[in-house]
Amino acid sequence: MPGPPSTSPVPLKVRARGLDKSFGSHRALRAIDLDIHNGEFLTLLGPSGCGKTTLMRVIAGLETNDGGTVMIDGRDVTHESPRRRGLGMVFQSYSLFPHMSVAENIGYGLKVAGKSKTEIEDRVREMLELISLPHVADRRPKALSGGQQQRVALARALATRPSLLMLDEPLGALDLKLRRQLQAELKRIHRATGMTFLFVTHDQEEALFLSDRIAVMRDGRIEQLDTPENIYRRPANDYVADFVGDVTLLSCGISGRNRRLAVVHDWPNAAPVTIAHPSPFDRFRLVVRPEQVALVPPDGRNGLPANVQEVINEGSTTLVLLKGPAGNQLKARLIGRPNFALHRGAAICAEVRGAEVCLPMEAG
Amino acid sequence: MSSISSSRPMRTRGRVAFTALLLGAPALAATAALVAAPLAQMFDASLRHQDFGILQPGFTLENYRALLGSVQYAELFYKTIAAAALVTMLCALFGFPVALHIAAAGPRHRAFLYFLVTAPLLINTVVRSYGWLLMLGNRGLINTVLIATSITSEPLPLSGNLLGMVIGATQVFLPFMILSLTTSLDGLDSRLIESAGILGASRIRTFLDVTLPLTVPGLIAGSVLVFSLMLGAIVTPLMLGGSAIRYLSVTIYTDAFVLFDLPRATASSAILLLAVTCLYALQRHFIRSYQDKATT
Repeated sequence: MPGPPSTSPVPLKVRARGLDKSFGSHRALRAIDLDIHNGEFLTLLGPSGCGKTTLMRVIAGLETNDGGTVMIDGRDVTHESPRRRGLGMVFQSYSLFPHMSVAENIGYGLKVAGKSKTEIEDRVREMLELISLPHVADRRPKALSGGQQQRVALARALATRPSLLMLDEPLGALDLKLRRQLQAELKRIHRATGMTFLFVTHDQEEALFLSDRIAVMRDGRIEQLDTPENIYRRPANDYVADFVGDVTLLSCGISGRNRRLAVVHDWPNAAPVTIAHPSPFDRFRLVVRPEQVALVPPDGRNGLPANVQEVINEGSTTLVLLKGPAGNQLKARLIGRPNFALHRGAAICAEVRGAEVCLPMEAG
Repeated sequence: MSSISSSRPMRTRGRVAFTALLLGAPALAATAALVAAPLAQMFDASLRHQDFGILQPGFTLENYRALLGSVQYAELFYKTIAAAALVTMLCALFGFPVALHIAAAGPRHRAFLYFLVTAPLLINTVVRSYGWLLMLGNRGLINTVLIATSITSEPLPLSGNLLGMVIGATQVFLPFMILSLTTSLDGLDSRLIESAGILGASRIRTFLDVTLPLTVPGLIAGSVLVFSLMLGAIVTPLMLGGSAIRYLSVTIYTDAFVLFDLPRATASSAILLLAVTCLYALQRHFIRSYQDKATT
């Protein structure tokens, strides 16, 4: 059956191709391709200097790219000024106009667009309700707390009904509790408005919690673009595995008929580890998350014998640092408290359950 | 225990203040001698009668009364203020684009632009005003070209009048306005400008709605600086405006050095000084209340 020409089932909001950008000798973006689907929450994740903010600013038109094209809603906007791209933007530093009231800030985009006074007032009221701050309309931004200011910045960006909302580390300046609260709020607002969100952060937990898809970036490239689930469970390489969540890489060789038994190298008396899928490599590194490691008393025959190095109480979970006989490290995260004695130096057996990702040995 | 820990920083601070006073003493003494003493002399002279240029003993308010009661003097005062205000406005008008350009420039380009702006300050005002005379005079560059190309038959009156003075003074005082505005623009968060742009505002709109309101303190500081410098300026008005021009500093000069009427010249100076001082006080008050408004 001749299939139809392959078109994306969801129309693309942003289609970026071959984006290059250098600042002096520093290459901030290297031939980046990125598709953002309509209505999705896409996060650019990476350490500072990886190019995530630059990529966002190029899409917004705040930086001009050296090469490549940016299309928004199927329209080539590569050479258009930011104000013609129909975007909203929220900065980490809030960037509210200090000489205008909260209401004037939120209504500014509409005023510039020449909307009537009553229309602006209605929309401002609606936005203030959306961010649950109906009583601050007449205050100056500086009279509000950081979290409130960021909500107002969000309302200002949303007021013009942009087709794409960009958020550049919007929660970076807030304390942890407030950040959690605003994350939930962002998620709610994303659902309520159905807008496309492009979010930039270096906080992997935040990215995992919020996003429909995550682009993990390094040195001006996208290392992996996938759902949070896949980014976490099936990282494409060590970099992604290491950046997103805690991870231990065990060098292994393959064994067994169905290639599903991993023999851990340099770990004396270790039983082979069963992996979820047949490994494509003969020698590889097994990605082990701390929560995939179960601890059993040392008389068990199935695990990796190890000694407890450190027991870290994390509140609802306990992180146990283990050391194998040859000095290899392994981390185990247990829910609650273990029901047997765990103390430094205790001999224990670590069972790896449900590991599924095999990365090739390092090149060279 | 607590009294020790609280009194110690106090004592240290007191000692630091005393040391600072000691170190500053020579400069303070010099300032007192070189500024306060002549000022005192000036006020003294403004309160005396004179006879053929010689100050007479005994104090009087007659000089002030004569000046403040005179319609001519009021007109002179008004014209002086108007001319200085005009120069200030022109400096703001020409200075803003330059300041915007400097604030947006990269560090190396910026150093070069700063040099261009401040270089004229290294040249004496007399020389600069003379330079303008070479341009604006009846046989100056502009008139020579205009006559040679038969655009005009008679030289245009570009100097020896208000026009010449305003042109020259605007150029002379422009650097002060530019530097003041640049400082203010540097403190402006570039994300605010970007935010306005993303919200749909054009560049002009962004300037009027965001940049200008937030650089008002710099604009006022620069304006007060240029305005007061212009009120006190003598070289440029004298050289480019001529001695016939109705300008207070020129009149003071004429009173003192041509007519030898020292009491009148000093009384005029005192009134001018008072006006400028009031202006400074007003500026401080305005900027402070403006900043309060923006931050609370």
